[in-house]
Parts: sequence; C-alpha cells; structure tokens
Amino acid sequence: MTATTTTMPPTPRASAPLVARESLWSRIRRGSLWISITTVAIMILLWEVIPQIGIVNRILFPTFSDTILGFGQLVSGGYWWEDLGKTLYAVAIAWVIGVTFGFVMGVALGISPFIRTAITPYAIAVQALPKVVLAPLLIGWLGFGSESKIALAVIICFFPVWIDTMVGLALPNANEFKLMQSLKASRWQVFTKLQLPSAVPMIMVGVKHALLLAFTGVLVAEILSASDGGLGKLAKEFASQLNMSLTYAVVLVVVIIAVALVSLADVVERRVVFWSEESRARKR
Amino acid sequence: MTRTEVIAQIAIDQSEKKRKKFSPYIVTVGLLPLILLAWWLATTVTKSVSPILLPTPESVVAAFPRVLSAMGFGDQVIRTLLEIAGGFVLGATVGFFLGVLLSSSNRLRTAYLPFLSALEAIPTVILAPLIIAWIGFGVEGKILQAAIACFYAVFITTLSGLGLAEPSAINLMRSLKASRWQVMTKVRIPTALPVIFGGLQLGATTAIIGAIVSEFIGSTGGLGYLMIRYRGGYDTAAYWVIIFLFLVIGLVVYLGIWYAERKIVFWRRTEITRPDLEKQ
Repeated sequence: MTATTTTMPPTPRASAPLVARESLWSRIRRGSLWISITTVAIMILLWEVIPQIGIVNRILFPTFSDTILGFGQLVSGGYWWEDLGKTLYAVAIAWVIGVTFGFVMGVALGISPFIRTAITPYAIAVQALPKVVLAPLLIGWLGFGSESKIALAVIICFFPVWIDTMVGLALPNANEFKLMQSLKASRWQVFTKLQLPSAVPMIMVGVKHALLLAFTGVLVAEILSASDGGLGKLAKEFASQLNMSLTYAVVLVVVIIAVALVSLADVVERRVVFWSEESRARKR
Repeated sequence: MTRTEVIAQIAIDQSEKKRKKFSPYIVTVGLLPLILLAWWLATTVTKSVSPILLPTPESVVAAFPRVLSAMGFGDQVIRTLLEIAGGFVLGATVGFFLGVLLSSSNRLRTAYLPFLSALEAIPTVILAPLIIAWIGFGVEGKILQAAIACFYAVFITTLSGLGLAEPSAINLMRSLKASRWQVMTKVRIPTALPVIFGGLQLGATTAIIGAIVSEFIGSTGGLGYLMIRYRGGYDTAAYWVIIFLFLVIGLVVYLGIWYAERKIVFWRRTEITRPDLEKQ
C-alpha cells in the first residue's frame, strides 16, 4: 500500500498548559493564591518605586500611579469612546469575515483527501509568509479608513480557521469512515455526522486564535496608518509625544480587552463543544 | 489479520490503486502556472487589480535585479536577519528556561496560571511604539520586539510539554534513584521536545512578524524600512520583490525548524497523518 501520510502544515500552536482548574478554596489552602497576590503586589510596588527613586527615567517609565492618572485622563478625553469603538468594530467585522472565509475554504479544500494533499505546500507557504508585510500596501490601496484595517485583519486571521477546519475534517480514523460507509451513509451524512462533529472542537481553537490575530491585525494597521483613529493610533501618538503615562494606559486597556475577549471565547467554546473530550473531562 | 481481512485489504488496495491514477502533487505543481496566469490576467491583460496593490508580473521580474543590486541592499538584509535571529534566540531561551522553572513546581504553576493566560492574549505589537520610545530606532529595539513576540509560544509549549511525561516513567526513574536533573533530562525534556519544536516554529514566525512591524513603525534600516521607502515612491514592483524575499525567509526558517525537529526528535514523528486513508 502506498503510504499516504501527508504532512499537513503542522499548525504550531501554544496550547494551554495542562493544569487542572482549581477552586478558589483549594488555591487558598495550598498557598498558591498567596503567591499570586504577593507577586502582583511586589510587581506593582517595583513599578511604583523604581522610577520614583530614579533608577530609570520617570518620563520614559511612568510609575503605577502615573499610569492610573493617565488612565483617568484617557477615559475622560473626548476622543476616547470613538477610538475604542473604532478598534472594536474593526476587530468584530474582521473576525466574522475571517472566520467565515476560513471555514468555507477549510471545508472546500479539506473535504477530499486528494485536494487536501495537493494544496498542502501552498498552505505551508501561506503560513510561512509573515502576512503583515501586506499592511503598508493595503493602507496605500484602501486608504486610511477602517477598510484597510479590516482587510489586513482578515488576511491575518482567516488562516488558523482554514487550517484547523482542514485538519479537523481529517481527524476521524479509517474505521469510523468504514463504519459510515458500511451503513450506506451518503457523502453529506459522513460530513455532518462524522467529520464535522469531530472537527468542531479543533475549529473552535482556530476561531479563538483568529480573534486574537484579528485584534493584532487591526492594531498593526492603526499604528501604521495613524489617521483613522483607534487604540493603535492612540498608543503611537502618545508614545511619539513621549506622553508615556497615557501610552501605558492605552497598553493597559489593550491588555484588558484582549484578556476579556479570550475569556469570552473560552466560555463560548465550552458551551459549543460540550461533547469534546476536554469539556467532558472538565465536567467529571 | 485473518484471511478474510487480508483479502478485503487487498481488494481495497487494488481499488484504491485503480482510483488513484496520479499523485496529488501533480495538481500542486500544476496549480503554480495557473496562479501565475491568473496574476498575469488580472494585472497585465484586464487591469482589474489596482497596480498600487498588485503590479504586473513582468514589472516584478524586472524589479528583481534593480532591488537586489541597490546600494547597501545586503546590509539591510543582514540587519533584518540579525534582528530576527537575535530576537528568536533571546525570546526562545528565556521562554524555555521560564517554562522549565515553572514546570518544576505545581504550586508556582497554579499561582501563575491566570497571568499566563493573560500573556497569551496580549497583542505584542501594541508594545512597539513603547519600545521605540524607550530605546530608539536601532537594532536593539527590533531584537527586543522580536524576542517579546516569540517568547510566549516557546514558554507555554515548554511548560505544557514538560507535563506530558508518563507518571509511570517518572516513578520508574525515581525508584531507580534518579535525581531531579536526571528525570528532567532523560524523561521530561525528551517527551516535551516535539511540543517545544512546535512552539519554536510558531515563535520563529512571530519573531519575524515582530521585527517587520517594528521596522515598519520606525527604523533606521532593514527590509521593513526599505519596503516603506519603496511604497512611499509608489514602486510597488520593488515592494513585491521584498515580499517574495520574506516568503523565502519565512519558508527557510519554518522548514529549517521542521527539518531540525525530524533530525533531533527522531523518536517521535509529530506529523499529522491522513487517518482516512491509513491502514490499520
């Protein structure tokens, strides 16, 4: 038999560490919560003290309290809500388009092993190309508006969904396919009853990853084009004015949004793929 | 295998041989001229794509010698490669050792887990303006940006890979009086290597992205700087030459790490097989 092992682009991905989620109580009892709290406290203390006593320049490295003040200033500025809204809007649109496009492409190219194998070298090439190189071109072509942001974010974020759909559809093993065939399942039935259910947990990982990549894409476009507004533009402008406490505040906001997006995606993922091994293990 | 199974197997093999008249890779090769043809049709013939976005293939081919022989081009390439390599080595080293450190204690790991998930979420590009304000437009800033971009992937794959070792293997080592160091180097790290290599691959890709973005935003040299200059002069063909260069860099790095993995981690193949065609 011809060994038809194809090497799909091994989508390298940082998977979550294999640590069981612990209840708050057990974390207190085992002392790990105290380590967390102490670490945060020490870090904030260092953040506050080091610039104060002059080890680093306070203008370039504002203290924690400076950053909090900068945050207040940022939120009370008239431009704030508009810039925040512009970024979130672009991320949402780009994510929806990217996920849809990636899924359709993954199904179209992943449904047949033949096409999948044929397309693999191209998938590797698309993966290896750092897609941000297109950013200045897209900005030059589509202008400084939200279109260029969305276009860049779509190009960056569709990829993991595409690959994960393709790989996910190939997950069921040969016996499962044979069982379906021996029961006279149609191609459509094999797809909806076997391939799709086993692919969805994998696709959800890609969908989550795409959310972060869409955010990254939008921020890159905003930092580079710097005229339509958005959080990226704010960070770049404040940094170039050496207004570092406001820059820190923007970075802080970006971190908070990113963490919130991921947590939200985690919750959705657990609801959607309740049948996956991981979810079942969590319930046990 | 029973005899009926063997017969069934042969029948399947034969039917598959009959069905598969040619290898899928013929399609792969065949697609390339089709893509080039589509590019040519879209730009040169129908002019339906804006030349600001995608120039004609002829002009890109013509731009190759011009870009490659431009004054100081080699220096720019070396500078960018240095930034990528420096950032990758720095970020991967820090990530690996932090991963080893955290994996050594369960308590530390649970204590820092919430921060780690937060780290995963942070789009590191937002730090680029900050880093430029801190240490300027030079090579050091790009290396730092690339290192920050690639740190997380290596760190988290090291951490989760080191947890993959079989408890029974570790117990065996312990019962043979193996030290912690021996358990780490003989069991944990070998088990983790395939996963870590996945992280290195992802980390290398993100290091390239970090370096480019940082060069785009503000730099005194490098390929990203050249791209911004070419775009400013509406020399899109030259711009595309550098895109191809980045494609080559990306592929070399990506496949290089993949090749290194197959050579170093010879005891486990992480390639995803095609289970639907696999024989038991």
